[in-house]
Amino acid sequence: MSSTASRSETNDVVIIGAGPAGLSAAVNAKARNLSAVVIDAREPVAKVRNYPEVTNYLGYPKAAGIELANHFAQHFAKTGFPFKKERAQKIVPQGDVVMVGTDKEVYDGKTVILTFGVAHTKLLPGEEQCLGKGVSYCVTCDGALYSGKDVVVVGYVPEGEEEANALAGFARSVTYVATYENVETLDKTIKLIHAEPTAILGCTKVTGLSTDTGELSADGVFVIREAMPFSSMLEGLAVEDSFIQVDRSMATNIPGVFAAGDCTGAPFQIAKAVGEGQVAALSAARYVYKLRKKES
Amino acid sequence: MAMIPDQDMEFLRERFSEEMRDPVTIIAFTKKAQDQEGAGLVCEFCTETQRIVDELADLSDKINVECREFSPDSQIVKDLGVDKLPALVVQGPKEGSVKYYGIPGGFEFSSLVEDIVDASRGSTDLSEDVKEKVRGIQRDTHIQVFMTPTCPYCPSAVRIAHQMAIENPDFIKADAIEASEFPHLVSKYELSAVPTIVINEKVQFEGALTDDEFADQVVLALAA
Repeated sequence: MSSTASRSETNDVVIIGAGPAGLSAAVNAKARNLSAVVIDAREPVAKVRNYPEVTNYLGYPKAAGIELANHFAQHFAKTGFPFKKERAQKIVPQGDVVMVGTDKEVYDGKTVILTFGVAHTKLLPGEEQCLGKGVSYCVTCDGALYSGKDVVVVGYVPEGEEEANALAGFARSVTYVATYENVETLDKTIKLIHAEPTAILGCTKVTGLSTDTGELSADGVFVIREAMPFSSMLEGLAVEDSFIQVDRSMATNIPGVFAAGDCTGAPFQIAKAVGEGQVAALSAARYVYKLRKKES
Repeated sequence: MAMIPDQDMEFLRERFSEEMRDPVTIIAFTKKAQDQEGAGLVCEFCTETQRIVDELADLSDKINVECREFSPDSQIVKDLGVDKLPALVVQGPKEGSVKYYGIPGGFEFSSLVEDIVDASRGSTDLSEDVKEKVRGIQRDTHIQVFMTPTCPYCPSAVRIAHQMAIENPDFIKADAIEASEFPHLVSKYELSAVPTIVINEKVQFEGALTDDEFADQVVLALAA
């Protein structure tokens, strides 16, 4: 039995995203003596690592992306905060605590700092209506319910292959719709189609998926994306033109929830992300201190 | 091998000793493998469920476990409304309205631990507004929370339902049901995601909700 004796302690800050904004928030949270956990589906600073050259980050007139990324990751490692390579899926404020659910765990935070990066994710037509009627995002949670059924997995990212492989253990048939080129780890029993999904079919109950190459019938559709659209992750979050609205303290409209970096809007620059990460952490610290005062 | 890992045992022993007030009885309904076939029953996890609660009982003098062989005609089964196996009924100072059907393993084990503590204290940490809403319910309410042990979101739904039952045991009964152990219910309710919550067979919704939203759904179901 994999046991969890009790939900882990409430963190002062749960930081979602391990890019420059998230790691800067972590370093500054540490400086304010807060406890924190950092969650990202990819390794820390994965995006910056691929930049061939950065020429406008102060102190580094000409730095390779990988050089900056390594410095950032090393600096973060000094905080001693845990890094969880998990996909954040749902954020639910519960009184003075904010719950962050990933594909594997739930983390409680007194505050949450969102540093998702740019994610122009849009839901498929029919996706929202079919949620809970055959559309799912979590094979670990819901896979067992599709025992003996026909299932389609839409993979926008290679992690979808792993999810499809896990489903193959339950479902009668699994079809993997890949929106990207190189599918490398898919189980041989799974039918692979390269296509762009266009809509989820069925209103009261999922009946299939339509794509630009045709329709597939299915009892369930699992959608595996790099990130969930902000608004479906955190209900009520104020978003404008795909960016999270924040004030100068990087506070969102939801108490205890802050945002920093590319997800708050242009310019999409490392320096801006690092600065916002710092402001968000300091604002989170103020919020936590106030809570502590209220509790004592 | 123990069902509860060693490192958790020590933590739980301390937690129960610090936080439990009154004794709690867990009534475990199971059926021996040889008796299942004749009765047309399959209880895949009866043995493991029994072991989990036995190990829990060893961690605190205040946790008592009553083992019952399931018999559909027995008075206690009728009184407690047990209709699936394995079943655990968590009884605090008040009559039990908190049930688990299926093995309380994985993430769900933490819910059971929290329920034991709450039942022992006869109180929960639902917000005051929600408590007021819940205590105001004066009609029989049956909440079923379908979950899987691998679902990180499920314990919060299970907990809210059970907390409501602890706050208002006269009217609210709440069941946590491990969906994959009861495929006929997966078909009946056309479950496609967990947690899915069914209230009085009238309102069905899924996903992680706040305690406030959950309470609103209960009130809505009662008005339906």
